[in-house]
Amino acid sequence: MKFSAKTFVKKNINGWLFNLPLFIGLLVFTAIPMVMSLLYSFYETDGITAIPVGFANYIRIFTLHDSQLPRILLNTIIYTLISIPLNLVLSYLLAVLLNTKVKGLGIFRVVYYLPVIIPGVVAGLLWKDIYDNTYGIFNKILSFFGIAPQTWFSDAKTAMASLLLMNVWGIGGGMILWLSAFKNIPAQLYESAKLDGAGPIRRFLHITIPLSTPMIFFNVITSIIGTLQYNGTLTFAGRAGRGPDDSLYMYGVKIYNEAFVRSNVGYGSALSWVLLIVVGLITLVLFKTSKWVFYGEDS
Amino acid sequence: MKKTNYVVLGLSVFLLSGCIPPPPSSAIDNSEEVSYSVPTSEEIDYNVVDTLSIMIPQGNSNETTMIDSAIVGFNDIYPNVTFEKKYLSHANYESTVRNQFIANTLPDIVWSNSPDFLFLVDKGIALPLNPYINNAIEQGEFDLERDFYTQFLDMGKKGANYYCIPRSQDSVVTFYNRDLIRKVGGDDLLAYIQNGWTWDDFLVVCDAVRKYQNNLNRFDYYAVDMNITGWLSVSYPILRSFGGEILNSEGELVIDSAETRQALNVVHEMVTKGYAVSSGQTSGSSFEVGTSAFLFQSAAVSLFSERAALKGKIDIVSFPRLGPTPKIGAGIAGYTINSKSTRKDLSWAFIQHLISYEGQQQMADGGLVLPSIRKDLTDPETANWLKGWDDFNMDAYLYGSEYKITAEFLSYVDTKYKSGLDLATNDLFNNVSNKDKDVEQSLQKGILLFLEELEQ
Repeated sequence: MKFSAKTFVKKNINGWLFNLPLFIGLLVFTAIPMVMSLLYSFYETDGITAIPVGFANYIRIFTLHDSQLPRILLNTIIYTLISIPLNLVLSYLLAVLLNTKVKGLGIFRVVYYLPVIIPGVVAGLLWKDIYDNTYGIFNKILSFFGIAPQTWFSDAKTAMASLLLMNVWGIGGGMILWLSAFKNIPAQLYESAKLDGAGPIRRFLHITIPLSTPMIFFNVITSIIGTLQYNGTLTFAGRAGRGPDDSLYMYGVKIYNEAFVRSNVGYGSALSWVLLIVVGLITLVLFKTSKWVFYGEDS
Repeated sequence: MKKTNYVVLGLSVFLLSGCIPPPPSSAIDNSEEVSYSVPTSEEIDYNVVDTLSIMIPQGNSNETTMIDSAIVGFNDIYPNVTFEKKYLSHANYESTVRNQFIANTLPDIVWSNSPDFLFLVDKGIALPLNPYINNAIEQGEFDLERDFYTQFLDMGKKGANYYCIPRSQDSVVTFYNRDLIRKVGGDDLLAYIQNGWTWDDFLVVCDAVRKYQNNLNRFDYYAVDMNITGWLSVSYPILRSFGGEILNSEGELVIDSAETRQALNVVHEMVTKGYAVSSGQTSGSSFEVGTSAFLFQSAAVSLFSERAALKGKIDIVSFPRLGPTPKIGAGIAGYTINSKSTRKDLSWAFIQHLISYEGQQQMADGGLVLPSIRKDLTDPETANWLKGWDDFNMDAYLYGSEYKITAEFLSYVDTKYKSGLDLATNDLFNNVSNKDKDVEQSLQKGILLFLEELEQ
């Protein structure tokens, strides 16, 4: 059939128009800023004045010439390595519990999900109060049981552990995703397994886990991306989100501080691109090693 | 995706990058006065029809009402000028101003303060105002020395150029709870508290308050809210009072000195003696609820005077004189002109009105209860900012103009270091305000942090 531009436009115009707002949004708020930040990363710039510096910003990052970076990377790696498995496992176990027939199941699900709908800034301030050395509820509970009060966010030794504990509060978000994955597992599989004599643990190990691997995979990837970008400490940790003795200084906070506090847009952009590349590589490796993910018999 | 697609995508990004022009480079030299032509009074069209935009800090209703009052007065001179007020959150001041400047949406007149205006100067956002000032002097409209407290005008200068014109003086004073101190030691103790009092006088009262609270088993109540661990206006003058300094004019770190140690020991002593709360602990008392005797602050009396716990019980006095070269923290809040503004002359006309006798009086009518920067507005009979405050020792704000300093060390380096230096200074004072930490170790740790921040 002969191609006619007029027919093509006439046939597709509605689709293009419906897509246009999204296209413009992506172009203006994602594509152009990304390209601009790539450009800025080769300049020493505050966004107003600019001096071309070639790869100097990247060299500064990769040679760890920035004396804050080793500590920031260590904090970010520790936070990522502990936070992701901890939250994934706990939210998974919580979802397994709430996938059983328990009285008041709906209430439990709502209660566990509630923290997720509280805005991050509010949650941060709330936890700042909860962790208050003198008036915080945690120390009051500890003193009720005769345990010495803890320093929480106010001491470098306890700040990271306090942050990890605080994040457990938000496992309801992961729980909902796991529950949705469990709902997609055909009930016949459990019934067949039961008839074959499989107990609850065996059914969990051989049906629930394998069939929820796509969701595990999805959660792992999104958690890694989110955790590496984490800058939530800006709202509650003090010292420009760095925490006592920089104990909570994460890579995401560093990007924010460089770009928006120190007006060091060029270096901040370079840090962002390095993060993007790292996240991309990790995601690539995860996809390349994703044979353990079970997408069904056809996969 | 095919390999050719990756190549096309990469090439597109590369080409697109090349299409976007890099931001222009610019350098501002403040070693000499900037000059450009400005209109003389004969050339001014007082009937000009125009709209001026002005940036005001969000959450400060006083700033809006005082500007509104000044606008009414300005419209008597320029009847056809209207104003568009734009608000900004001070928490995101630098990034917001920068972004608006790049996007050409920054108002003509921009609120600023010390030391934030230095950012506007370094980025070329603020217009140097010397030609306007010199012109006004030549036209006989004002005289700097005769009419103004020049040390406050100078706080809005960088090098030889004026950038931020203060709308008022900001000076740290000591708020005190007269009722509480009278309970502690009667009028004999209150007699120590008068403008020009010394740190030793201050310690006598602190000690009496400490003993009083101890007798009542209020061990977590303290004499003073020092405001020292997060505010350079208290910490930096204390350092300077002993001759200590953070950076020299070359931007080199000079904090490691005997003078610094003396100043830090004074602060440490305040917590070891239980006069001020140790950092890391929470005080059971606070000035705002009427349970601490003192507070170092630069705010207007009106901020506290009407609070239920403090009404009729408080007064102010000068910051205690300390060390061999006493210093009092001071600063300015005021207005700059956007260097990209197309209404620079009109913007200056408004700023000049703000610092005129009439403008200052109008702002005071609109709620400005801080001292005027004009020398002819110190008489309680005529100065509006003093009216209604007869019961308060308002001279405390004006006391010791020769002692007043701002955090000038921040102007010795690029503004990108400001946040880091601010943080390092606060860290240092936070550590020495901890009764369990050693002063020398805190200083050595502070030096490392300063060096790290200056390396960034």
